[in-house]
Amino acid sequence: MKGLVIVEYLKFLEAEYDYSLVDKVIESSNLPDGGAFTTVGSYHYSQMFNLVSNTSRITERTIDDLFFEFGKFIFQAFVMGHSHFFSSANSSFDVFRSLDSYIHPEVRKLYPDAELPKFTVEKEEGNEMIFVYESARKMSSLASGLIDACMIHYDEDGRVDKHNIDNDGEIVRFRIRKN
Amino acid sequence: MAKLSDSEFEKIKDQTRLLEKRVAREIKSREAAEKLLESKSKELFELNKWLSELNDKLKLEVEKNNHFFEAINEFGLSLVGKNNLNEIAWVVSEKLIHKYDLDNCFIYAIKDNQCYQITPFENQGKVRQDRFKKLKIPLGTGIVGTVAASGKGEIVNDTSQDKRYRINDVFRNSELTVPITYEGMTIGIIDSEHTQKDFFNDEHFNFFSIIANIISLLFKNSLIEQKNQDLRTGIRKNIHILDSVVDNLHTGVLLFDERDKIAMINSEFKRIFKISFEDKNIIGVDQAQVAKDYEGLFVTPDKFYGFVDRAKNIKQKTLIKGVELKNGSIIDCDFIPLMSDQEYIGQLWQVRDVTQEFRFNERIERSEEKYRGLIENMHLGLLEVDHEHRILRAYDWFCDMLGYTEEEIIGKNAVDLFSANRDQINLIDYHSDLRLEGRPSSYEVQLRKKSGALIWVIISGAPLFDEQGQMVGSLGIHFDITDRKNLESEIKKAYQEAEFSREAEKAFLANMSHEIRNPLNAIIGLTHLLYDTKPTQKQLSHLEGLKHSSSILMGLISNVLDLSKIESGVMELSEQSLNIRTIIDSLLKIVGFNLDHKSIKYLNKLSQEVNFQVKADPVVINQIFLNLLSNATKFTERGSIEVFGEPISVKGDKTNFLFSIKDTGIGISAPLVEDIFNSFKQADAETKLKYGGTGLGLSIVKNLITIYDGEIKVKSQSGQGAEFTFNLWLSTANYIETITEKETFSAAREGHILIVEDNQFNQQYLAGVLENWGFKFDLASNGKEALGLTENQHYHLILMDIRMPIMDGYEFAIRLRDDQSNRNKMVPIIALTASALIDERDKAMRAGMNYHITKPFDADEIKVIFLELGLLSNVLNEENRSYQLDQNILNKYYGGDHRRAAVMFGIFLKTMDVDFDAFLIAFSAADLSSMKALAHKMRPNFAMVGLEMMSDKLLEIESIIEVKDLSKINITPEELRIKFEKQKKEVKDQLNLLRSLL
Repeated sequence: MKGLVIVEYLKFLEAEYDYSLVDKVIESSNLPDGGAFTTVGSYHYSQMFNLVSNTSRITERTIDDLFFEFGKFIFQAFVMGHSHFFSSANSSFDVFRSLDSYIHPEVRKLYPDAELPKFTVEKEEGNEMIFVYESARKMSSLASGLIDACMIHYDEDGRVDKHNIDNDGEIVRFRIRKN
Repeated sequence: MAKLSDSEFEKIKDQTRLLEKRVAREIKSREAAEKLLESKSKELFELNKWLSELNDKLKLEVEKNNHFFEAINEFGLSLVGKNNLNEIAWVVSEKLIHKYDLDNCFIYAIKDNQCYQITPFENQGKVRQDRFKKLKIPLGTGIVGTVAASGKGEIVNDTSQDKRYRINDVFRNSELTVPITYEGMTIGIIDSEHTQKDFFNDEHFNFFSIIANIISLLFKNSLIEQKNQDLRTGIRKNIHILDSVVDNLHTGVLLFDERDKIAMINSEFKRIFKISFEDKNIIGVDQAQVAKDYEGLFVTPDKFYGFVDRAKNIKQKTLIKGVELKNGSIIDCDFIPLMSDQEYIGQLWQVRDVTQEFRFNERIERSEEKYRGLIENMHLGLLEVDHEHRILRAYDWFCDMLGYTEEEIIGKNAVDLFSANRDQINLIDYHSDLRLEGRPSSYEVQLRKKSGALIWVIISGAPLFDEQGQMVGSLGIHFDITDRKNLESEIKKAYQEAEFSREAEKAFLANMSHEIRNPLNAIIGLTHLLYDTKPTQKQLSHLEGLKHSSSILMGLISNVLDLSKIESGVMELSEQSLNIRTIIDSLLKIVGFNLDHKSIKYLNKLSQEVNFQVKADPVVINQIFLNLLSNATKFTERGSIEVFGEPISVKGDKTNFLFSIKDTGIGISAPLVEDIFNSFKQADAETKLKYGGTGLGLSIVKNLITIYDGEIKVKSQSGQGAEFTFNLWLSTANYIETITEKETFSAAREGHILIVEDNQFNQQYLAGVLENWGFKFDLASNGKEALGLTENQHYHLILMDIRMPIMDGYEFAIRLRDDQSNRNKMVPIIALTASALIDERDKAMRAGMNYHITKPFDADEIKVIFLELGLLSNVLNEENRSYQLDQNILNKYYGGDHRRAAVMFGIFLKTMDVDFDAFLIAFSAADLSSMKALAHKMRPNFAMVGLEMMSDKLLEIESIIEVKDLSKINITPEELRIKFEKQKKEVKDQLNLLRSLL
């Protein structure tokens, strides 16, 4: 897991609550370096899950909810860091379409060890798009948050249906209908 | 300051602790990040360092290569323009030495398995003359020789260790040698040495090799350049020749380039179109401009330019004929588009001034039409055909003649259409072949009309020429000769019928002659025999009567036969060279012998001019004179009989002789003179009673004279004698011939003959005959006298009477044959007997005599024997003797039966021509089966006329045909034909001889 994501998660928690919650979550997660994360480093993904599940326990919020909200939060970081990309795209569909073909390959160039989910556009027809999320990390809720945030970024209004293809949530189909 | 509550304090304490924790975590995070970045930047540094090292190396390599290629480039530049191998070699040697500071660099050229050193370069460019010995190294010797032989370059790192190194030189320790190859062949060597061992490396090797390649390329270039040079010279020369040829052509030439601008124009073209510009002013002018400028020259410019445009559009060679110019000239114009690989590159105009030709053709056409019209009016059918007999044109009269219209027959094969039968095709082909040789000819042929009827025409054919003078076929003029042909065939039929009846008559005559004469001969012979039987006076008187009557009968029959011969035209003339004076002399002697008790003087009063040879049938001439002389003798009791003669006129090769025979006899009374020459007319009954005879003599004479275009007249009065005058037109014979053919028969060689005869009369007679033939002779009156003569004189023949006093003929013969010392022991003897009895004849033969003649005999009977013995020869000369008829064979087949022989000879002459011609045709055509059949058929015929040689030849040919190898026949058809003609003549001569004996 890239250090950037964990650092952003801790920023998200501090923004939602305060540093004391961050501290509680870190303390309770029993992390190897005592929660000293750096954006340039790489960490095992279980550390992230420890942090999220402990957050859920402490705040009594569902993990999906946390991931959804975190998705929305981290989107802003992406827009800040890669503004050129978002300004060249005209709609959320442009972004989704280029996820697998452009964005992720670009990410891999910078971070060869990055673990990235797979997005496959199954159908695009007018205001409707169907694509499939695939990841062993089962973080489709994070994706949902990102989708939401992205549509908002492009001033789009619509409905996102999410449907698990397998029970574990490793493969999830998204259906987006813009108004 | 307000005191903090515990909870507040605790809260602050917690916040502080939380802050501390956060700071600690952030420090820790930064440290980790720093550590991480540090390791990354170290990695980057190492990488960078490695890259820059690599870069440096690369740079070095590139620089080195650049130097290499720059050097090569420099070399190449310095060699540009140098084509001579020697020159190249000097530059290369010098530069290589400088570039690598070499000790030396030599270049060798290879020729005839030797390496010839052509550069002597040493270091610093100094040529050490002592070193430049222009080394010559054989292929395979030393390092240079090895490379020259193998074609593979070599580096020798230490020459002291290489046994091939030949120059004993301590200063040169390493050597580099590369070949210069051209098209797979080693043509030279670059060789270099250096003082250091291991001096030469791959770079040197590569560089040298590349230089060698450059030299090879230059060499190739120089060869190509040389070729190009030659080519350019050749082209320049050819262009020059072409220019002058084109300019001197009698054809106007105008050439346009691909933009239709004038590229070339020759003098003739300018002459025809009256163009006076100089070439430089007209070259480059546009075609459209030219057309416009010269439009006015043409009579019908639109028509001409129309043709030109069409020709240009279709881009095909086009001939525009007979273009008329306003100045009266006529031109033919050839348009020739010039194409190169489908691409249009210009056009050529060829213009010929054909004014004269054109006018000439016009005139010819007009006159041809005129003559064709004339011929048509003359009712001659004109037909024009090509070489394959296809009808090109048929004129009206021809069509009328054959019942066609011209449309029906145009284009059809004339031979197939008209020919009446296949046999004619050969004839037509033969004449067509003549036409191909450009020769006219005419022939008769039968043609089939449209109606199927046949007509005969004479075709007079001539070669047919077209306007260009090319022979395109033949022109036949047909003349209808059907009427004439019909007439001809009727005449032929009539002639054949006449011929047939004549033949029948002839055969009848031959038979009659034989059948009547034979018994008559017996009567005469037996009468003579009876004289020897010591008859009583009365019997003697009866015998005289018998003799007289039979003689009259003999004469009568002879005359009847002679007359019918002449009248029926059976009389065949055998003309020979003869002397009339000699004939008259002989005849006067002969008639003189029969004088009995009369006293008549015979006078030969021929003019001195009648003293040359004439060509005539001796039988005819003899008979004319003999009959007249006999006649005169018969009616003259005493006085004289005179013969006059002189040539009176000449016409061509013929001379008209006037003869007359004048007697002093009883004469003819006036009223009877007119009738005297008619058959069976004698002066009068009284005369007939007194003188006897048939009354045919003068009739025969009159007829015989007619043969030589003469007439006979008589001048006489009763009791005043008679004068018969007649003329003969006789050919004058060639003088030279008269030498060799003095008489029909003459002594073949010098012969001396002995006559043994007790009867004076017979002695005289035989003497006269032999004298005529030109023989010497001796006379003896009995056998004893004769034996005496034979002891001293050699004789060629003895004529021997049988019954003689003192020693008879039998005894003489036996004695002579037994006398070993007598040189005449083997001489042939002819027995002259009065008896026709076989018994007597056998006796003569047993006694050793060779021939037998029964009295009375005539000269011809002796002649036959003389001919057989070779004592006499007829007209055939020595050269032809080998072809002479075989007399023995004649005897074998005919046993001396001359009549039968004559009939056979006649048949031979009549039939053999046809068979022999057929045989020769088969021979020429190598038609073996026909040849064989004909040879077999003819063979016996030749033998029957005594031509055994020809018969044998045919047998030989027959057997050669059996083995089917014609090459073995050593005679050509033509040679055979000549032989046959010669022999035919002999048979003819022989037939005449045989007839004269009948």
